[in-house]
Amino acid sequence: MNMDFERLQRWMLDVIRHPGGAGEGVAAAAPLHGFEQLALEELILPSHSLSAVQRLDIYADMYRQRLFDTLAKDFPALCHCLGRDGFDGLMIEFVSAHPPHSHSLLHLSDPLLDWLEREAAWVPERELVLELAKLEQALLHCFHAPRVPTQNVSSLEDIPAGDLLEICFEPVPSARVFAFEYEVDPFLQAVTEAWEPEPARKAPNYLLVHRVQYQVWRRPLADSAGRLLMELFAGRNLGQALEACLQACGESPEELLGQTRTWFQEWTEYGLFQSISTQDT
Amino acid sequence: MGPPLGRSAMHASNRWNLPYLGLGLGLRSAHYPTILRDWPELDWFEVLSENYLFSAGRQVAVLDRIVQRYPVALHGVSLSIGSSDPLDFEYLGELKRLAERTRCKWLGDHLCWTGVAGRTSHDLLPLPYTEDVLRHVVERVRRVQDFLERPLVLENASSYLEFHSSSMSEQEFLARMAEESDCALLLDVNNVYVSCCNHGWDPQEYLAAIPADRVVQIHLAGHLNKGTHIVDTHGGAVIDEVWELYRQWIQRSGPVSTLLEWDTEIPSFEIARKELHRAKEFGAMCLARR
Repeated sequence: MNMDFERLQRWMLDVIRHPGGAGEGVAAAAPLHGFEQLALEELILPSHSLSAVQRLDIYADMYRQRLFDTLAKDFPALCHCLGRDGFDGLMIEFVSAHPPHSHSLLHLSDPLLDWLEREAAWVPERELVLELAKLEQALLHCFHAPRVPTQNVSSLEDIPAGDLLEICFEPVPSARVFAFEYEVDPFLQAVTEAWEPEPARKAPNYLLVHRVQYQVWRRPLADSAGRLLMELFAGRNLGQALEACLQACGESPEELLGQTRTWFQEWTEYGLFQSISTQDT
Repeated sequence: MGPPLGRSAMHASNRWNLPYLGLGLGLRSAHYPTILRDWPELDWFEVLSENYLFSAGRQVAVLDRIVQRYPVALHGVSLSIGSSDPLDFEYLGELKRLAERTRCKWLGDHLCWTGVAGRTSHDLLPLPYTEDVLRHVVERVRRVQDFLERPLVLENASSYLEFHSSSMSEQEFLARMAEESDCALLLDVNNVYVSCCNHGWDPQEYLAAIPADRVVQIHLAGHLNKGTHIVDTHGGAVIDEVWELYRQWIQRSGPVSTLLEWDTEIPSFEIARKELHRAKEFGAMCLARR
């Protein structure tokens, strides 16, 4: 392809994606693409009512608006927590660091958590912001995750008693479990129901996010259940997970084992596991 | 499902004999509950390809049910046929699979570019209309059609700027592209109106240059007039001037599958369908005079 055409496209994309808008974009992009000797009007024509920069700014505005609206829709609690101006300010930084490159806006926020953790130390209430982002991204990922066959509780009953502590549980792609420091779930619930939420309290809690028949559910878990499920989702076998749970939650082995059967009954009913197997298999 | 809205014993007049589908709406998730509950009377749906290519969630299951009851056409926004980047055959492969899965009547996208150097704008960006760019686009359309094994249906996009380097009009570019690559066209009448207002072009001249036998589908939509320019928002009702362009086109070409797009402040299914009914009135009125 003609190099001038490719250069023109690269220049225009830089202009409309510039965080400062098209005016700053034109100034910044011209030397990068070798257009500094040209008047802007030698590339873009003015109209009867708009200058060339104003015409480019229409695209720049639409670019920002489309991305910010998508992110605000996908992260309503985060947006509420920061306020729309604060949210847009954060997203300007995020989108500048991770501009979109996929065919679909579904993947726009994929690098958000990593970026918040590594590069956004200046964000106010960062721990809370991170947890809200984790929860809302999980909802998004669970909603769009592929559907896979799941195991029912009889799969567990088929395993010889002697092997039970060795078994591993592979979670379905549409399930996540979290240990949060803040009560982010009630905060999100209030935002989605258009109440004015109380500030999210700091109170450690576990939350399961999963999908049943294309509907995504959020279920608070008791500490021991949450800890056990997190260990299993992390790939530990049942024996290792129970051990970690006993150490962390301070329950007696009898109490824990008594509840475990009920939990697995529920978890398999929710379809949380796509495979249940001993490590050897 | 009741009788069709506008598909009564009419035949399409395009060169591929692609069927006349009647009057359709863009499939939007806001309307899923109404569609799945009532299976309302409607000739066909247009499906935004990207909404179904990258998810395995509910919308894919809903689409599988909808294609059992209604004909669909696929309409994409990220083919980027005018980009100087290489064609993305992974994307095209997914698109081909979706086309087979939905048994779509045709599939299309826009005459535009969306990104370059592996980066995207998620917008339909205009091209400079030059001989070089025409050759580039024609060659890519041919390759895409060979891969998809069907004609590509390309739409005139709304635009807000023009390039100094353009040496031909948009309508001449469209007509020559269609002729030289043997592709089909989707004529967005609202986009014709929007671009003509934004650039001071004449919509009559524009329509006159479009080869009628290559137009297999028409888009109608509302827009937002901001005083200094018009933005193609796909919001609100179709304005009278756009209906008049539609009437003129149908009078010239005969029946063409027609689709109403509504993407901002999406109304109830019933209101959208009521607006679409106006196309039946215009279409019947002008066909009676032919």
